[in-house]
Order: sequence, then C-alpha cells, then structure tokens
Amino acid sequence: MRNFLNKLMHRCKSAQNETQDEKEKKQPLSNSLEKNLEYFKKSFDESADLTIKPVKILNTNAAIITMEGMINKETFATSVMNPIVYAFGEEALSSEEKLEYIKSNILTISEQIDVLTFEDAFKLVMSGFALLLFDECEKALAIGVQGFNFRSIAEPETEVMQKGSKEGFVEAIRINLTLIRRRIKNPKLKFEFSTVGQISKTDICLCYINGTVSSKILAELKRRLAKIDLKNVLAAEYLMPYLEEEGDLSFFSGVGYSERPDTVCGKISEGRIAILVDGTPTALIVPYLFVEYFQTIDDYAERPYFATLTRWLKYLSFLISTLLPGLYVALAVFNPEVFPDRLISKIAYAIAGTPFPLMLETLIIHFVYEIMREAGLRLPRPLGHAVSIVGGLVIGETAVNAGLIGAPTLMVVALTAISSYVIPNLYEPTAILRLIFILVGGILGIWGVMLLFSVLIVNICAKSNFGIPFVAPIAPFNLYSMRDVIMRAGWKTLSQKTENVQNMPH
Amino acid sequence: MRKMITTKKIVILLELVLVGFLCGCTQVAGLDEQLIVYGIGVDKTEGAYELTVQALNTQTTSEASSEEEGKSIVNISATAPTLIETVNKIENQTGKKILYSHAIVLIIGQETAKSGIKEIIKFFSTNHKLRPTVEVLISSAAAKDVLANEGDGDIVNAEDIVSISKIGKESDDGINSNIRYLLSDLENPQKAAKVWLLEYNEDEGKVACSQIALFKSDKLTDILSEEATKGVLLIYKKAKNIADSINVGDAQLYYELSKAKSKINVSVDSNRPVFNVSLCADLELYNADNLAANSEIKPIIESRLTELMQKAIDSCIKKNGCDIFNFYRHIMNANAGFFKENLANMEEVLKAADYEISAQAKIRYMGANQKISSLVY
Amino acid sequence: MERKDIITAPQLFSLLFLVNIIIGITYNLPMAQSSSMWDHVISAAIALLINVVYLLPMYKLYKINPTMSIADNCAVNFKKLGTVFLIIYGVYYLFAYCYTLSLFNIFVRDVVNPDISLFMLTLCVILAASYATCKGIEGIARACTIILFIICASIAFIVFTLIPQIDVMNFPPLLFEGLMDTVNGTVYLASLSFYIPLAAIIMPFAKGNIKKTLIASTVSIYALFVLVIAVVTGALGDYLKTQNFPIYTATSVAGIGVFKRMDAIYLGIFTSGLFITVSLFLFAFFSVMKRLFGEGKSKIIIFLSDVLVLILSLILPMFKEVSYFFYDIKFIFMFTMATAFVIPLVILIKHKMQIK
Repeated sequence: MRNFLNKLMHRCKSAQNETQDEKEKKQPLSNSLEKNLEYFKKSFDESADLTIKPVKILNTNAAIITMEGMINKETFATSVMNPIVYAFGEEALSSEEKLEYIKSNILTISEQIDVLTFEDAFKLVMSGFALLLFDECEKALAIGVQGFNFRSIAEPETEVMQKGSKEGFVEAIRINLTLIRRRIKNPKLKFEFSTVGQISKTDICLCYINGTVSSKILAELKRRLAKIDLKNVLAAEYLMPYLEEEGDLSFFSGVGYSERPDTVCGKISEGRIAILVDGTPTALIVPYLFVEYFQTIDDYAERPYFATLTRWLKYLSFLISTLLPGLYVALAVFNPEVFPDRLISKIAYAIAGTPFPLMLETLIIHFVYEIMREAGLRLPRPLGHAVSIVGGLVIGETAVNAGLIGAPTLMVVALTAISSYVIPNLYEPTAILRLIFILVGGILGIWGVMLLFSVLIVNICAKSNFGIPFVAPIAPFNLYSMRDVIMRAGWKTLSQKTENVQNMPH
Repeated sequence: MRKMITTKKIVILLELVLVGFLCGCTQVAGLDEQLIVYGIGVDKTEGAYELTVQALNTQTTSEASSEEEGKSIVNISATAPTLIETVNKIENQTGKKILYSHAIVLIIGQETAKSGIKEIIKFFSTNHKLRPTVEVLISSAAAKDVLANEGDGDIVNAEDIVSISKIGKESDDGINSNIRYLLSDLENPQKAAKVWLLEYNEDEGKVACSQIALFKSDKLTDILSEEATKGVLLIYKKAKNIADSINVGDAQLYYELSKAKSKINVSVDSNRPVFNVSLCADLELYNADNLAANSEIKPIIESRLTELMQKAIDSCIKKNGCDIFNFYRHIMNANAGFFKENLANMEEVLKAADYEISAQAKIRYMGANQKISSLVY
Repeated sequence: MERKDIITAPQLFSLLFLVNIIIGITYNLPMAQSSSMWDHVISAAIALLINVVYLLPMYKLYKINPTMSIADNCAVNFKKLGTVFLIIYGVYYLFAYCYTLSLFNIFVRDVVNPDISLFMLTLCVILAASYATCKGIEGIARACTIILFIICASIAFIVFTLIPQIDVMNFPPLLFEGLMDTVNGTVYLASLSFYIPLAAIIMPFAKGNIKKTLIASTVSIYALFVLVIAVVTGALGDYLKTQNFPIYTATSVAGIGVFKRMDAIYLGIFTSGLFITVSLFLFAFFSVMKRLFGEGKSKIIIFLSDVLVLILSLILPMFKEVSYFFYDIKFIFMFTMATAFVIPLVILIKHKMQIK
C-alpha cells in the first residue's frame, strides 16, 4: 500500500514537473542578457558542449551561444564572429535596432531566424545554429552555421541496385532534402518541417508535390503526426505505428520505407508523401501498397521482358518464403501421396533417420537459421567468416551426417531463406508467417495451410491506409494498373498515364 | 477499462488452454511410422488370403540408401481369413501403418482370380489413399512369388513390373488395366473386365506381359492367346508398337505397327446388330529387301491384321461372351430402343451379331530399300 | 437510406460465382437422386431458366431502392410479417452455412479420412469465417477476387489434365434413363441456388451494373457446371457411379508428368473457397440479425450461432433421420424458392399495391 502510494506520488510529481518544464520552455526571452544566459546555463546544467561567448557589439553587451561540434567553425569565424566583432555603425541605436542592423547589413549568412522563446532558442542551438543575444533586447538571432559531421553519401547496404543511382540518404535531414530536390527540380515540390518527440524534439519533414498529392491524405497524415506522443524519436520506424490505421493488426505495414532518394522521388511523383526524419537515413512513404514491396528501381531501369521476369520471381519468392516450409510439413505428414515416387523415398529415408518429428525438425532448423542470421548481423566484419563457417558446419553437412536433421528439410529451409532475401522489405512478416504456417501445417495439414492462407488474404485485403486499399490495384481490380503489377510495361506505355495513388480503385 | 483488461486476460487464458487441445492433433502417423507400399500381391489359398506387400525399407541408414541408385525394398507377407486381418497382421509385424498412396501395382494370383476379384478390388479401392491408377495384373504364378522374384540378385520391384506391363503400350494406347477401369467394368453387368496377365518364369526368374485375362462377372474365365491379344489391341483404338510376322512365300517378314486407328460402327438389321470394324494402320516392314513380289505383301498383311482382330472377337465375344470392346455401348448409342429391349440378353445378341472386319495398311519398308520407301506405299 | 457502395459489381460477381463453385464441387449423384450425371446437362439448362425467374422479383425490388437489402425491405414493408420473413432469412442463411459445412465434414470424414480431428478442423473453419465476417464485406470481396482467380486457374489446370482422358464412349445418350434423372437433377441444382438469397443481402453494397452481374454470374455458373459435367463424365465414365464426390475423384485421377494426384489441389480449392462461402453466409446472417436485434445483441447471436453450427455440422451426418430431412432436395428446393423468389415477390406485390 505504502509503495503504491509512493509510486502514485512520484507520478504526480513528474507530471507536475513536466508541465512546469513545458511552461518554462514557452517562456519568452528576457530583456536582460544576464538572465537569459543564466537561464541557458541552468537549463543545460553547465553541459560541457554548451559554448557561450560574450562579445561587445556596437558598444553593447552581447553573447553568442553555440553547441560544441554542431557548428562549422570556419564559417562561424569568418562569416559571423569577424564581421560582428568589427562591425561599426550607429551606437546610439537601441539593442533591437542594433540586432536588426547586424542582421541586415553585417552578417553574410543567408539563413537567419528571429527567436523569441527559449523553446525555439534551445531547438535552434541544438540544431547547429549560433544564437546571438543582445542585452536589453527580447529578441535573439539564430544564424545558420551548421557544420556537424555526417556520414558521406553512399549506396545503402540494404537496398543495393544493379543499375540506377548509388546515392543513399544520410542522417542529416537537410542533406536528404537536397538529394530529393536535385532529382525533382520542380517548384511544386514542397517540404514541410515539423517536430516530433517530446524530449528529443526530432525534426521531420513532409515531402510532396503540390497538385499531385491528395489534400485529404495530406490532412490525415498531419492529423496522425500531431497525435504522436512519443518522448524520443530516434529512428524513422518509431513513427510507423502512428501512421497506420487505428486498430490495424496486419502483418504487413501500410507505411513503406526506403533509403534511396531515387525510390522516394518516384513515390512522391505518384502522389505519395515522404517523411524524412532527422537522424535516420530512412524515409517513410505513405500510403504504401502491397504490390510496391515487389517493385524496385532496377525494374524500371531494365528491359521490360527481363523486369517482368524478375517481378514474377519476386512473387514466387514471396510465396516460397512464406508457404514452402508449411506446405512441405503438411504434405509430408498428411498428404504424402502428392510427392512423386522417387521423392517420397528420399523424404522417407530422411525422416526415418532423424530423431525429431518433421514439424519440430523444421522449426528447429528455422530457429537455428534465425540465430545465425542475427549473429551475422551483429558480429563485427572480421568475425563474419567464422560465422559462415560455423553456420555451414552446424546446420549444414555435419547435422545431416549426424542424422540430426534430414537433407530435404535442410534444402527446404535453405531455399526459403534465399527466397526471403529477394524481397528484403518483407523479411519480417514472412519470417513470422512461415513459422505460423509450419505450426498450422503440422497440426492441421493442407487444410490448415489453405485456411490460414485464406485468412491471411482476407487480412491483407481488408487493410486500407489513408483510404486506399492495401491490395489495390489487384482488389479492387484495375486492369490498366496491371501494366506495372503483372508485368513491367515499357516506358512508352507507362508514361502515357501516371496513376496517382489516390486514384487507385476503392 | 478495467473490465476490458480483465476480459482480454480471460480470452487470452482461454486461448492458451484451447491451444493445449491442439496437442491431441499431433498424433498423426509420420512418414517414418508408415509403411510405404509400392506393390501389392494377393493370393487366396485354402480359404485364407495371403497378402504380400513390397515396401520401402527405411531401416538402412539414410545416407547409404539415398546414395544408391535404386530404392531398398522389402517384401512382407501375412495370411489371414480376411484381407483386413492380413493388413492388420502386417501392421502388427512392422509396427507401421500401411500407406497405399504410392502403390503402383496390384497383382492377383491366377488361381485366386478364378474365385473372384471383386472383393479384393473393392477392398483396396475404398482406401482413399490408393491411387485409382494402380495397375492390376493377374499373375500366372502366385503373386507372392512374382513380388519375391529375384532377377539378377535384386528383388524385381513393382516399378519394373509395371513398366513391363506397359512396354510398348503407352497409357492412352491399348487397354487400361488399372483399378479405376476395372472397378467400373466390374460394376457394369454389360461389360467384361480385362486385365493383363503377368507370365512368370520360375526357372529364369523373369516376368513378361503379352496376354490378356478375361473376366466374367468378377471371375477369371479365360486367358487370350497372344494373337487374340494383339487383335484386342488393334480393335482398341490407337494400338501402337505391336510386332508380328507374316510368311510371304518362303520368306518370313516382320512388321511393327507405328500408328493404328480403328473405327467401330454398328447398324441394326432385322433385329441383329452388324458391327463394322475397320482399321487403318501404319507399319514398318523388315526383312523385305530381297523380295521381288512387293505387290503381294500388302494384302497379306491386311489379311493378317483382319485375322488377328477376328480371333480377338471370336475369343472374347463368341467363345466367352465377354464384351470388352464396349460393343454394347455402340448399340446403345446407335439404337437406344433396340438396346433397351435386349438389355437382359445382350450377351446372346453380341454372340449372334455379325462382325465385318477390314484393315488398311500403309507399309514403310525398312532396310536397304529405305531410301525409296516413302514412294512405296 | 444512404448508399453503402463498398464493393464493385465484378467483386459481387466473383462472390456469387465462388459460392456456387463451392456448392457445386460437393455435387454428388446420391444426393441428386440420379444415376446419370450426363443428363444433368439438361438439368443445368432448365435450372438456369429457373434461376433467371427467381432473380426477377429480387432485382425489381433492388431497382426500386438500391440502398435496401432484402432484410431492410422485409422490415420496411411489413411489420409482424416482416419479422417472420427476417427470421426465415436468418434460418435460411444459417441452414446454408450448416449445409455447406456438414457436406465438408462428410467429405473429409468419409472420403479423405485424415488423421486430424474433425472437430478442430470445423472449429478452425468457423473461427476463420467469423474473423472474415468481422472484417466486413469489403475484405471478403477483395479476398474473394484473389481466391477465385486461384480457384479458376486450378480448375482450368485440372480440366486441362483430364481432357486427354476423355473417352467419347463414356457419354451415354441423353435421357437414356428417362426423365426422372433430369427432373431430379433440375430440382437439385435449383435447390442449391444459395447465391440468390445471398445476392439479395449483398447487392446494396455493390456499385456498378448489377443486372449484368447477376446475369453473368447465373450464366457462368451453369456454363462451368456443364463443362465440368462433360469433362468428368467423359473421363470417368461408369466409375462415377461408385463415387460419392465425383469431382474429387476426377481430380484424384488427373495427373501431369510425375505429379499423379491432383486431389491436394481440390482440397486446397475446397478449403479456401469454403472459407469465403461460409463467411458470406455468416455475414448475411449477421446482417439479418442486425436488422432484427440491433448490432450489440447480434454479436452475441453470431457467437451462439457459430456454436450451433459447429454442433450441427458435426452431428448431422451421424443421425440418418435428421440428415435425410436436412439433405432432402425437395425440402431445400422449397426453402430456396421461398427465400429467393416467393418472399421478394410478396414484398414486390405489397409495394406495388401501396403505390396504387
């Protein structure tokens, strides 16, 4: 009881403190430079990266606040400090007039923002701006001298393409904006900044093309973003659940993501909205359709007949990676009559020589494979070879020779694993689904597999995001759109009419 | 809110409990607990059935077996008063449940067939796992001996037996001797069942398949001669790869049919059906290089083909009253009224019917004359 | 009443077509009280005409107010009698649900005889159907489009593999056994027109040319039926008479290359199609219950009806007297006629009289 009351008290206090912090942050800047600086020091609690440089400008006390490592020191020195320290002008002007004078006549940096509240001041300083404060002035000037280090632009490792651009997004949102702007040199391309995360105050940017995007979808997106109550947003994927429909329990996400600017530009051109998140090289794309998981930039860079073949390979790979193990277990256990005569003898030998029931064996191999995969992801590169060798030995020849697992089962799992990498974006749902299919196949046989498959189809078909059916244009069926679903028609055909996402049948 | 959480907890608990019931569903017999059967042999001696199954032997190590070219097979037999008891005995002997899904041949001993096969066929056909395309053969010796036959040291497996029975006779050629057709023949009183006879040479341990066994109702009634068998194949449409010989003067010529198509027409004349059986055959003739009298060959061959078909009709219809050619069906399609009137004594009607048989042959000379053979038809 | 419009006319076609495929593949001669399957070609033609007649009053009612389903029409045009009609429809949909599921159970138990528990399988089907019903007609319709495509491809594949096995001699002369087979076949086929009362509930949700959809679905259903009869009769011949589920037998006989038995495809088709079919019946039942009792109570009724259907579909095949009545084609024919034709006609007449 006492513990409960103590916890309750603690919760109330934190809530109170939070409200108090919120009130303080919305507080406007003070007239007194000293009070402002005092407030900064108190808020940052004398943090080592906060740099406060007092200066005298036009015979008035001023200060410049920056964050260590966030600014470009050369730019700061040559374009900010030098000009303002050696500035000359009318000393009889008021502090505010002096600030305006500095802003308009002295500073050569184009990005300058007037700051009136502490909240904005903190955000801009922590975004790499230099904050210029004058004594007896309730306004501050944020000067854009960002110069933090960021990763160089390189091809994303998770979306490797044979043809097309080798550029990928980086963690800095502003760089990502330029990557998009360079590809769509259209004034209708609009970027809209916003902030999410109560503590992290992460910058996000909505990218869309005016006139192409649906105003309804845009309004709905903004409404959902406003409802995000996360404290910290450290990755773009944190936002995904908030962008889905409420109560959506589907395995597949109606929010796409990409690290490639060319992909994002393609999506934006079709009326979709991309959301860039500062600190993450991933752009979220809404609304996203199921068929888009099977579309890559390479498809559009290749000849249509080959692109169609690879498209179908992807569909087949998806089915193999999801259904094959479950079907194998179901047929081998319940309907062995389907197997040809020679194959059944191989399977029978394999099963007879192993100690585990087939369903359990398949599950074990899958779990071992998932462990190997996770280990491979986390291990440092020099040790990667060791993992390959151990993996090959453990779940490869040794296990089969020892009679712990059967060769056909291993083949099935290997084929499933390879197939799942054909569509890496779908790896997560297929990994879970295949385990469920194995269980259902082992318990209910082919009936269970087909029933679950049908339920999965209903689950996908009933899903919509932003009013667009997830399985459009397959259901509701749109024959014209099939030119980019069943096949990849040539560019001369595709360019005849652009299908915006909001025009999908629904 | 609290109510919702409590309801959710109850639902989740219920689901977990229900999942526990699923454990009962996993007691299905796995492949390792099943006896995969390739061949089945049934004999009946002294009122008891002897069932022999040729099954996959999974007792050897998995790797060794899979590296061998052939499967490791084993024959298991059991004797009991009824078939179901024999099956139970085998299952008790091996500790495995019999899986019929890959059985490809069912051999019934000749002596057993004489006492009736309907019970045997029905017993196996009711097993849903058994393929309706299982080949049914009557063996001249006991089925057990055929399956246990060791040619060249290895047990002759069911696959080889089936391929022998089908050699030169593709699936859509000649007669169908599988369980599906046999069952429909046995169910239809107008039809007679026919099945290939597997001749077993005990001394050499070899099997051959060149004669047809005729059934009346479900009892073996006669074994057709090789010539009559060829005639049956000729009458059955699209009979291919039949080989035969003819004598032209002192020379013996051999021919092989490459293409044959027969047509059966029937007309009812004065309450008597007249069947017109015509055959068009393409054949390859061997050993005719040195013959001068080529013009005589064609009529001789056509006469021979006619003779074979006549023998078939005489053996099946006239002698045994077994309509294996669906002649009754032709009458039914041509004259339904006549058919209905004579339904009860269709056998006599067919025996009394006239059969006008004709054959036309297109001959391709093989050998030294091959270069100009296309001109010599 | 506001138009609901959430499925398209082609989706409506696919729903109705699929329902009939699933009902059709459980077709069997003993239930049709016939010995010749080939005569049912004529039965199909007559049943097609009967169905067209059935569709007329229902379609007329739809034209008067496209936003109202048959349940709405019953409630609006009649008071007490409307409630009776609603109950009849509710019982009909539940009957259709139970009938389809019990046939599936008979098939699984008697023909396939798997090692799994029939109770578990039926329960899973019912749970899956309930889930689909919760997702709404939109989800079911879209899923049906995809599943129907797979089913049609499978049927085409099976027909293709069976065509080489067709023997012209297997076709007896039409009406050889007399008229009774044809009459019984007609009654049987007409009785299984569950899709018409189902359409009466679903039509208001559809947008597009409903008239063409209904005609197309009716004609396609019977055209497919005739094709399947022709192929199955030609391929199986007299073997048909020994089989309870001839279409399943035909698939087990089909083969291509090394793959000899296609009955696993049949099982797959049956299961996925059955799931959509029973979901639709449950959805229709739910719509009627919603009209009768409101949304809150109808959810409890759905749960209870699921339990009832589970019990009935498992025990029905065991009790001959009850199952004899349950599967009697004359009883089903009367019931279908009442819901597909008589009640809509009565409502239509009442409506016309009201206008006068």
